Amino acid sequence: MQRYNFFDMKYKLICLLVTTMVLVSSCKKFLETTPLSNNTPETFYGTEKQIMSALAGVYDRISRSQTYGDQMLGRMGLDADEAFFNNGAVEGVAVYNVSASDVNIANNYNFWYDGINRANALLENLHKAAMSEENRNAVRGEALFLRAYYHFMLVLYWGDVPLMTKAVKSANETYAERTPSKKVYEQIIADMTEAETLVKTAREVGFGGRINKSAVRGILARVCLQMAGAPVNDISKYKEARDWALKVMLPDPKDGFQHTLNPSYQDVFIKYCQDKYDIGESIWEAEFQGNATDGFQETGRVGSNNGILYSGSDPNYGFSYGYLNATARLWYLFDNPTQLLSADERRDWSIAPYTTTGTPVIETPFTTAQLYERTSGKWRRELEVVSPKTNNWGPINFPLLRFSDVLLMFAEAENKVNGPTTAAIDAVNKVRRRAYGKDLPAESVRMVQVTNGGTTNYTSAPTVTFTGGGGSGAAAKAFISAGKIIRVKMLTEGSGYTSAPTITFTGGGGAGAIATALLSKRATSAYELTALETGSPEAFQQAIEDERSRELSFECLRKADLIRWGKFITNMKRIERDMTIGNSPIPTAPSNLQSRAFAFRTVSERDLLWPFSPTEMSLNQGLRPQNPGF
Amino acid sequence: MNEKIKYYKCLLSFIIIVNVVLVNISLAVAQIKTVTGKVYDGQTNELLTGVSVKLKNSSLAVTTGADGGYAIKCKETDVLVFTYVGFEPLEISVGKRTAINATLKNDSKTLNDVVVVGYGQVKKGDLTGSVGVLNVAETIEKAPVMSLDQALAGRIAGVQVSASQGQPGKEGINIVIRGAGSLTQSTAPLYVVDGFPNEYFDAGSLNINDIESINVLKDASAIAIYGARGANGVIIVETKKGKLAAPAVTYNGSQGYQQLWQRMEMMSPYEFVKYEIERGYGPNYLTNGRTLESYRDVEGINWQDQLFRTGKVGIHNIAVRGGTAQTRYSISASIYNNDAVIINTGSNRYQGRLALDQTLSQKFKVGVNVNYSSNSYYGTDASITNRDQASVTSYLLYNVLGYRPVTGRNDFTEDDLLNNLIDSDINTNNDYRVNPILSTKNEYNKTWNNTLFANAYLTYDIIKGLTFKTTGTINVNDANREYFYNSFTAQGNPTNPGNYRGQWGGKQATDRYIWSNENILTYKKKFNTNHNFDAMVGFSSQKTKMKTGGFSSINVGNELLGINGLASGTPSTIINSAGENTLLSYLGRINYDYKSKYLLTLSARADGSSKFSANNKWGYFPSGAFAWKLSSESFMKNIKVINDAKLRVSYGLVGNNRVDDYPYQDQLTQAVDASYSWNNATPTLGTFISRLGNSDLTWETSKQLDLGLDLSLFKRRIEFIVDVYRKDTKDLLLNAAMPRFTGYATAYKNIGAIRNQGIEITLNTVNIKKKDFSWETNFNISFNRNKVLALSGETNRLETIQWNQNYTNSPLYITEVGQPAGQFLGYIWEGNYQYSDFDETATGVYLLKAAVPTNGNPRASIKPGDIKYRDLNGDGTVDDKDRTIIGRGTPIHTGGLSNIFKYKGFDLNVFFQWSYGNDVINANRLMFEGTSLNLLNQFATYTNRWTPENQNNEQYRTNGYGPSGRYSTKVIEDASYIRLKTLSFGYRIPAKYLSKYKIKSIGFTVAAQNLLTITNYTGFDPEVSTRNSVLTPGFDYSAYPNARTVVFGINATL
Repeated sequence: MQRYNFFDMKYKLICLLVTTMVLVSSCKKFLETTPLSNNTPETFYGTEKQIMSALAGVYDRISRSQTYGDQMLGRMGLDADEAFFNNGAVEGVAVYNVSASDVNIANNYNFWYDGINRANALLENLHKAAMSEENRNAVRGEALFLRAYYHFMLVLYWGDVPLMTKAVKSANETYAERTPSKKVYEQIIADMTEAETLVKTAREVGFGGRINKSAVRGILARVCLQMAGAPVNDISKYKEARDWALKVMLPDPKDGFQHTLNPSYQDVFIKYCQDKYDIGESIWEAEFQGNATDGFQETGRVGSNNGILYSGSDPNYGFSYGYLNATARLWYLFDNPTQLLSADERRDWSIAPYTTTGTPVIETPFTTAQLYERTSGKWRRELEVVSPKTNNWGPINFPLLRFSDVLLMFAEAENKVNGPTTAAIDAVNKVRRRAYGKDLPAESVRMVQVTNGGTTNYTSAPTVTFTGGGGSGAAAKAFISAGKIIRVKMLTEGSGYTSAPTITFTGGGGAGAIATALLSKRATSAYELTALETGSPEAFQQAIEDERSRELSFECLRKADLIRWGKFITNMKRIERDMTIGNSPIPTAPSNLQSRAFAFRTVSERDLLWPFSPTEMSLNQGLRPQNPGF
Repeated sequence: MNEKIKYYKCLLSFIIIVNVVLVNISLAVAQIKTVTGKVYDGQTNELLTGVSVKLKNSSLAVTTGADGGYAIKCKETDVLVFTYVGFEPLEISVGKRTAINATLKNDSKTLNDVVVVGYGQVKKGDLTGSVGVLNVAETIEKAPVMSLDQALAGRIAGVQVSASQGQPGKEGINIVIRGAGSLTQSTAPLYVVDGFPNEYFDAGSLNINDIESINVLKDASAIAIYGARGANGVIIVETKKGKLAAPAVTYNGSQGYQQLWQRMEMMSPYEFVKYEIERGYGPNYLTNGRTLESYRDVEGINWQDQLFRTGKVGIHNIAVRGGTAQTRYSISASIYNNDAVIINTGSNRYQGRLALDQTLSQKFKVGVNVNYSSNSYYGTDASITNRDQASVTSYLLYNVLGYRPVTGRNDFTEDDLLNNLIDSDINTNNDYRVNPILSTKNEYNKTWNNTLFANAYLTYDIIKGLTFKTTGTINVNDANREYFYNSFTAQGNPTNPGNYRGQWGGKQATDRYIWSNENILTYKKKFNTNHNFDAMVGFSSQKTKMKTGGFSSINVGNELLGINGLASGTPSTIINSAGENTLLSYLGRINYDYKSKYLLTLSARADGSSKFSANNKWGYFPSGAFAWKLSSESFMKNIKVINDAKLRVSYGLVGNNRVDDYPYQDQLTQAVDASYSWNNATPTLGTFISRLGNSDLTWETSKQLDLGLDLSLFKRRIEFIVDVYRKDTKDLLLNAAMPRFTGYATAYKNIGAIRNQGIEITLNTVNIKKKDFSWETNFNISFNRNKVLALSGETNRLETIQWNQNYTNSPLYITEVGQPAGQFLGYIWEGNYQYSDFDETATGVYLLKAAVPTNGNPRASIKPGDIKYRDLNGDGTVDDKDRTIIGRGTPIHTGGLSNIFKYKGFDLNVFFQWSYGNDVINANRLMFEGTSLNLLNQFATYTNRWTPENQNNEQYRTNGYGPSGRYSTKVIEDASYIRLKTLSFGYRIPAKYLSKYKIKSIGFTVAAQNLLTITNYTGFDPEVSTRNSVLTPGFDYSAYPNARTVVFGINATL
C-alpha cells in the first residue's frame, strides 16, 4: 500500500477523468433514438400509398360519430322546424337548451379542426411523394376542398372562427383570433375554386364517396348562397352561386358526364340503404361501411338515429332510436294532407307512414290524425344489406350533395339575380316532376288501407292477392296483431293500373278482413308550380324554401337554410305555436308529445350560433368574445 | 443496434483502463496467533450466537457459534470488532491476550446506525439531508399484505400513501412524497432496489420478508444524486444479504381471512317496492292481488351476500441465509395466495431470490442478486366499465347494490332473478344490466406480471479508502393479460342489442426490458483527525425498451373453450407498439465534516436523456446541504438532557423526465379510427400526426429548500425530527391541453409551476424500558400545502370523469392558479324546496315563488321536495355559472402512530394511520339516492326522503332529483379517517426450551390489517380514489372495497 503515494493517485485519477471525457463524446449517439412503431413526417409521405392513407385521415372526420356519423344526425337540432327530437331530453343541443360546455358541440368543433390540420399537413408534405402529377393534383384538390368544407361547417355554426391554412408546428401555437366570417368564406371559396381545377370529374370518380368536380361545384354553390344570405349578406355571391350550380347542371362537355335525377324519389334512399351509388343524383356522400364486426370503425348511425323507431330484435329490421319526429307543418307542406297518400310521392317516404314494434316485427300504420308520431322514414334499416344489423353500427351512406339540391340552389340564386326566370322555374319543376313520379310507370299500387282487420281472428299473416284494376305486378305482405290484419305493406307496386285492384286475403286462419288499394296519381296530378307561386321573386323564393323542405328534409340542411333566409327564429316559434295551440289547419301535438314543444319554446336568438366551449376559450385567449347569449 | 455495440465498447474500455491503471495487490505480512472467547448479551447475560468478530481494517471475520464462542487468527496489533444486529459495536485491542470475552450493549438506537442513501451509506448521525428511515422488522414486516407499498402508509413523515381501492393486483397504491410535484405526469417516487434506480418498479415483485431496509429520501440534497428521476422522492430498498453466520433456515407461514368491514345498507323489499310504486312502476309488483303489504316481510335477495365472501390469504416464506468470511449467501422463496372478498377475484405470487457475495481477494469482491417473481391477479374490475361506453349501468358494484331484491311476477321468481342473466322486467335496449353474480363468476380476466431482476457487481479496493464498483443490472418484465367473456357475462351478453362482439376475448402483452450499468469510484480520507472527507464520482447508463402487442377476437364460435377458443372468432382490434429510451449520467458527491460537528454535503448529477431534442438532452442537478451538530459544541456538552442536536439546511435541484419516449418529435399514427372507406371498399387506414412534437421540451426542475432539526433527548429515549420544506416545481412537464383549433388535444410542454410546502414531525419515544417490559411509541405527522403557481395560458383546468353519460358535460374537478390541484367543482346543495318556497295557486297546485331561484328545471315543473341548490350569482336560476369549489381532494395532514409493547417473549404492535381533511365524492349516492332509473334498489338512507308527511332537508322527494348531470355538496363527503391499520401480537418461545431441539426460535403471531376504521364517510371505505390522479383525486364509484384481514402465523428459525 505504501507503493501508492498521493501524487500517483492524482495522476491516475486524471487519467481516469480524461478517459471518461473521451467516453462522453463517443457515447453521444447512445442518446439518439427514433420512434420504433410510429412514423415521423420525415419518414412518411414518400409513396402514393402513404399519401392515400393520409388522405383517408382527412376524409375520416366527416364520418365520425361526432360529425355525420351520429351526432349531426338528428341530435344537434339541424333539422330545425322539420322535426323535433323525440327523446324527452330537456337539456342539450338537440332541444336548444345548450350550455356553453355542451360536449356534442365541442366535439363537433374539435373534429372539424382535426380534419383541417390533417389536410394542412398533407398539403405541406404532398410534394415529397413519388406519384403521377394527375393523382397528386387530385389529392391536393381533395385536401383543399375538405379543408374548405370543414371551415364551412365551422363558419356556419360558430360564425367568426380561427382560419387555419397552415399545419400547426409548435406546441406554442395556442393563440388564434376569430377571423371575420366574410374572410373565412373568401378563403373557403378560394380553396374550393382551386380544388375545382384539380380534382377528378364525376365520371372519372364514378361514385359519390370521393370528391369530384361536380361535388366541388355544387358545394361552392351552397357556400356562395350561404355567404349571400344572413349573417354575411354578401349579395354579390348569388351570381356566383348561380354560376356554380349551373356548372353542375351543364358540366363542361369534356367532363363527359350529365347529372340526372333518379326518376324515383324513394329509390334515391333505397340506394343509400342498399349501399348502391348513383352519382347522377347523389353527387357527394359521407361514406359508411360495414357493421363494426370486421375490426373497422367506419360505421354510422344513418337509419339508427333518423330511421323508423324500432327497438325489437327482429334480425331483418335494424334497431332505430327514431330520434326525429316530423312536425305536422312539414306534413302540411305536401299535397293531400288529409289523405293517407299524397300525390307528392316524397311525403310518404320521407315521413314514415307506419311504426315498427315487436319481434318479429309488426308494422302498424298511422292514421291521418297521427302527424306528430311519425318519424323520419328516409333511411330504413330494413333495407340494409350488411348482416347482421348491429344496433348502432350501420353502413348506410349519408347524402352531402344531391342533384335536386343543386337544381333548387340554382333556382334560388337565379331568382335573386334575374327573378323567376323560366330557367329557374324549370329547375324547380324538374325536382317536382320527379317528386310526382311523372317518369315512373303509371299507375301503381302505392299503399293499402285496411278498413276491417277481420271478423274472425287471424293466427298468422294471410297471403295478399291483388286482382283486377287493369294492372299487374303488385305484391304485398300483411301484418297481424291481436288476430286482426293491421297493415298491408307494398312489396312491389306494379304498374298499369287504371282502377284500384281488389285485395283478397287467403289463409292465416281468419276471415272478414277488408282492404282498399290506394293508387298513385302520376298520370293525373299536376306537379308544376302555380302561377301564383312563380308570380313574383318573393313568392317564388317562398316556393323554393318550401320545396327545399319537401325535397331535402332531415338532410342536415334546414337550420343553415333558415339562418341564411333570416327565418330561423320565426319558423321555430311557429312550430311551438303549432304544437301547443294549433294553427289551422295544422293540428296541435297530442298530449303525450306536448312536452316536445320545449325545444321550440327554448330556442332563442342565441341559437343562431353555437357557443365555444369554455375550455377552448380558456386555452385560446384569441377566441373572444363568446358568441352572444352564452 | 450499432449504438449498443458502441456503448459496450466504451464501457469495456472504461473498465480496462481502470484495471490497467490501478493494478497490484499487496498483502501484509505479520505475526499470527489465535484468540478465542465468548460473547454475551449485556442485558440478559445470555450467550450470543452469530456475532460477527472482525479484524479492524481487514475483511477477515468469524462468527460466534451456538455456544457463543469464537476463534480468530490475528496479530497483537489488531483490534477486534464485535458487531451484532441490535447491539452497539465493540472494539477491543488484542494485545498479548489469547482469550477475550466480550459483552455487547443492547441498543438499537445509536446514532452509529448506518443509513443507505443514494450511491453510498452514511452514519445516521451524520446525515445532512432529510431521510425517512423505516424499521422494517417492527413495521411493515408485521403487516399481512402482499407488497411493501401497501404497508408503508403512515409510517414515514412526508410520505403519503393511499390505496385507490381493494381490487387485487390493482390496489393503485399511490405514494406521494412531499406533495404532488406534477399535474399530468406520474408522481410516483423513484424506487432504488439494491442500487438500481427503476421508474417502473412493481412493488408487488418484491417479498416483504426479503427486505432489510427501506429509506425514503425526501429533500433535494438526498435525492439530487438521482437527478432527473428524483423529483418525486426516492425510496431506497435494500434486500437481505447473507450474513457472516452459520446457515440459518427461517420459515414464516400464515393463513388469514379477509372480510369487508361494512356493507351498504340497501332498502328492504318493502321499502323498495314502495319506492317503485311511487315512481310509477307499481304494475310490476302489484300483480296477482299483491299489495305493498305483501312485501312487508319478504326477505328478498341480498345481492351483497352473493358477491362478497370471506377471503383467504396464505403466505409462505422460506429462506436460508448464512456465510463465511469469503462467501455470504441468502436464498429465499415465497408463495402468496389470496382469494379476495369478491367472488372470482384474487391474486397470487410466486417469488424467489438469490443473493451471493463473494470475496475474491482482499481487493476484489463480487456479488449477484437475482429476484424472480410471477404475480398474477384475476377477476372482474369493479370500478371499470365493462363495456366501451361509459354506461353507468355496466359497473359491478352498481349492479350488485342496485339489482332489485324481489320481482312481482309469478313466472319470474326470485330464484329466476338469482339464476338468470337478465332481469326480464328490464328493457334490454337501453338498460344493459345483467345479473352481476353470474357475470362475475363467468368472467375470465387474468393478468400475469413476470419480473426478473438480476444485478451483479464487482468492487475493487484500489488503495486504502479508494474503491471502485461497477454494477450491471437487467430488469425484464412481461405483463400478460388474457380475457374472455362468454355469453353469461355483461360483455358477452347476447341479448344486449349493442353487443356486436358476441362472445369475445383477447390477449395483450407488454414486455419491458431495462439494462443499466453503473460505475462508481469512492474515496474516503481523514485528514489530521478533524477533517473527514469522502467523495464519490460515477458514470451510469441505462436503456429501456418496451413492446406491447395484442389482439381481440370477436364473435367466437366455440365459447366453451374459453380463452383457448379465440381462434374460432374474427380477429378485431390489433395492438402493437414499441418504444425505447436511454439515459446517460455523470454524478458526484463530496461529504466533508469537521470534527463531526460541521457537516457539508455537495452533490451533482448530469443526466442526458434520449427523450429530449439534441439541444435539451442534458439536465444538471446540483445540491448542497449543511448540518451543524450543536450537541458537539462545548457549550452544549453540559446539557445532559440533550444527547444529540443537529440543525440541517439543504437546497438543490432535481428533475422529472417522465414523459413518453419521443415527445420532441412529431409522430404519425396509422389508426383504425382515422380510416375511410371509399366505394364501400375495405377501409383505407388513415394516417395523421397523432403527437405534436415539442423540440423545446426540456427537464422539469424542482427546487427544494429544507430546514431540519434532529433532537435526541433523555439518553436517546426521545427522538424528535422536524423538517420544514418548500418545493417549487417549474417548467412542469405538462401534457398540456391544446386549444383544439390546432388539431391536437394535448402536447407536452414545459409550462406551469406548482409549490408544495409543509412541515413534517417525527417523534419516537421509548416510554418504558425495563428488563422484561418495554414500550415504544412512534408518531409522525405531515402537513403539505399544494398550490398551483401557473398553468399554460389557462387560468384553470377542468377535468371530467367519464362514468355516466349524464355527467359527460359536467366537469368535476378544477385546478386553478393559486389553489391546490384537483379541487371539486359543483353546486352548493341547499336541501329541498319546502312548501314555504311556493305559492299555492290552486288547491294542491304549487308554483315556485318568483323570488325563489329555480334549480335549473323549468319553474313550472318544480315541486315541493325537489332538490335545491344555491343560486350564487343571483340570476334566479341555478346553472353552470353557479358552480363553485365544493371540496378538496388532498388531505390537510396525514400521519401514523404506532405503539410497540414487549413483555418477555410477547410483543404487541398497534399501529394507527390517518388522513384528515380530504373530501371524497361518493358518486354511488348519485345512483342510489333517487334517480331516474327504474328497477334499481336504493340506499336505505333514501327511505328518509321528503314527503308531505316527512318534510326535511335531507333527501329529495321521489323523482325530485332536478336537472341531470350535477355534482353538488350533497355527495361530497369528508373522507377523514383514522384506522387501526396494523395490529399484531406475537409470542416467541424462550430459546432455552428450544436449544435441545436444535431450533433457534419459534414464534406465533396474530396480525390484522385495517381492523378498525373510524370515519364519517358513508361509502364502503374512505380510502378510495377510483380515478386517481393529481387532477382527479377522491372519486368513488363502484370501488372494490378495502377488506380487513386477520392472519395467524408461525415463524421458525432452524
